[in-house]
Amino acid sequence: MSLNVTRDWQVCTVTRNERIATAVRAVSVRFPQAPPDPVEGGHLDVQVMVNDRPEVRSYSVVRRDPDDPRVLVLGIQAAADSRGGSLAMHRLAPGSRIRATQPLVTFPYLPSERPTRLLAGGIGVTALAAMADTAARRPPAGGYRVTYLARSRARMAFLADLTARHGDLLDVHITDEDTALDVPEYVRGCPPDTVLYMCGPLSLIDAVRTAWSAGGRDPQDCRFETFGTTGRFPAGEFIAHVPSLGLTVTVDAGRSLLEAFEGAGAEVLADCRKGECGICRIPVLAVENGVIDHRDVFLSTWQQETDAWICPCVSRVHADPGGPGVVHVDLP
Amino acid sequence: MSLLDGTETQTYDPVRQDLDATSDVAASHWPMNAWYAAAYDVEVGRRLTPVRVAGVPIVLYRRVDGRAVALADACWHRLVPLALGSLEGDDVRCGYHGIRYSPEGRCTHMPAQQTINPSAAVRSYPVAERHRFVWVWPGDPALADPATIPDMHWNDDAAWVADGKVIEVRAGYQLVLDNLLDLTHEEFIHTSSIGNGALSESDFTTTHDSASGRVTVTRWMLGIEAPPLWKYLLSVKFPDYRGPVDRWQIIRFTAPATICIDVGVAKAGTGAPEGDRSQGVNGYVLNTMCPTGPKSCRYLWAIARDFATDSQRITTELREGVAGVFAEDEAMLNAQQAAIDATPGYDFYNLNIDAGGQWARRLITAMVERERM
Repeated sequence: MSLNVTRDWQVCTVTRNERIATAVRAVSVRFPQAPPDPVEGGHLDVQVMVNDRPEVRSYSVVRRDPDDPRVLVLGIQAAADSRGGSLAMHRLAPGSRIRATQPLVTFPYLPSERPTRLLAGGIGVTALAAMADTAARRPPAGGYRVTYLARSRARMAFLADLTARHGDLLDVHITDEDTALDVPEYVRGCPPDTVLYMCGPLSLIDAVRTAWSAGGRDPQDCRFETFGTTGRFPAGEFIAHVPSLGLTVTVDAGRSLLEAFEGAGAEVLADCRKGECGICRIPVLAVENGVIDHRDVFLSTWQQETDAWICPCVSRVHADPGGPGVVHVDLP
Repeated sequence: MSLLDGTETQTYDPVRQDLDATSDVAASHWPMNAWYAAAYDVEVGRRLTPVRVAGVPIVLYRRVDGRAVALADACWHRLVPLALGSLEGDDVRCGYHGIRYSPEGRCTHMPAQQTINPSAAVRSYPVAERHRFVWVWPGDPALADPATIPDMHWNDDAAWVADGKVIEVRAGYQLVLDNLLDLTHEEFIHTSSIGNGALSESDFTTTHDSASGRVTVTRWMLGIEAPPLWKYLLSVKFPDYRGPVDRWQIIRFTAPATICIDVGVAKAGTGAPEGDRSQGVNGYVLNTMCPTGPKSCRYLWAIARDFATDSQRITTELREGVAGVFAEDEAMLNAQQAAIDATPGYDFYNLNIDAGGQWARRLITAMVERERM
């Protein structure tokens, strides 16, 4: 995957594993010696057993243990459509050995003196907690605030930690408590020259980016990470057709278009697998009985509206009622 | 659990093993959470200057308003040195595919696509300019407090005049610290300038303070004949004096890599050891090392004085005189590192004169241990 560090796999020990919110556990992992890498915006790649086969999953580093720099804390949500990786992590008993990489930073926090805002939606909080901690320890001259959104209080991992750490600098918005965030108002309230870091569902990121551009702000000051798992519509089954290869594949809800092509033996180049790098983009010839749910952040809004390309690692077809949705593409 | 409390001594500890390996005399080790003087102020300007700080490739430059910037010297995309690129206002453009970064390290332009990859960035390191040096903090940015930069104020204090140079030493910085913390070598390396027999004949005291990471080595040589350089400098202030002097060297180390040496001579018996230096001349030899690798460092130095402060001639003579003295040290240090590398498996033998250097090594190792556990 797109990263400019080489993975350094190490045998680590699980030291704690505790439930901290609905479907979320905090898993502490001790390295043989303290990884020197920054943890802000970093994740570990971890080897997990899924259906008795080793697979690699990525989990954000929430913090480094202040009392032992060898220990990193991961926040892991068992998603409803989990393919087994997060459930396997949830079951690890203290003392278990796992293979993990050093922190891999794909969402770097760049300390500055500018006003700084951190916006977390749901489990996206795991990617922002360490940044928020650093902002608290070395506050930018322009100040910082943390905003944390969720559907319900029970689902909010690390809420107590964040409250203790940031006090009045933390704003909480909970849909079930009728305190949902008004995104345009939130963006308008960011001081001029603000740098925003956010992680959450694509719908949140889209709304913020739209408001950000509408406010005439520089797009580069809106920094975000997606886990590549959310879109404008729920994931559903669709069909992909490649006339040049005479190939038709059915993409079920639990698989990506890219994985479907790979499963059928088609040659597709891919790298980040979360809709960021754009190396897997392929030309779209036509769409039938549905619309493309562009879930990538590589194509610009204008490019997405033309439907000329699709990033098959994350993007899908949302079928009209009665479907099935079909996308005709080329694999050059 | 602390490694220092001894409770884990029976178990295999990879960190301990690693520290044992890195305290080998063949290769210097260093903490990352520290300020290192990466360059002299005049070395950094509106151009891209590559340096290594704590072994890390970093590119230095100044913004349009003059503030110094330190970015990782490797483009996020294909890792080529950004120093081969160009400055565009406050931003750096990579010289290979044109990707552009702000002084904070954020990608501000990516050719050939309409969006900017959200992870596109290079690390930006905390920078502070103080005492004519550009200091860079290679470790955890949240811990970078400019108040912890070692005091080297003599380099830009109105009451003092100072100037200096940079030496690219082909030896680990800990070998340079050893050199500066034991000045008995002056008698043998620097015979024509500042060395004399009194150095190895006089006694010295060594004190240390683990909490602040300081070591002090104090040596007084009373009623001696001044060595050639000091004879000349004393004559600048007291042209008629020909008699013996009281000479001092007070070496102050601040972990991990800075040494300020209070040096001088005064007319013998005029009270200098008790604090009255009015009948003498006083200088400060300012030294700070930036480890560029386990076996190399940038050695930034200056010589400061509080007498004849209006004389550019003395400023130039002192700077060039000390440069000549340090060239003698540099030759020995380079040869020492080469000899160490050619003699694998051998360790140093420590004499009593090495107490200062050994305390410095212990304080540095403690800093490294605290970072790694």
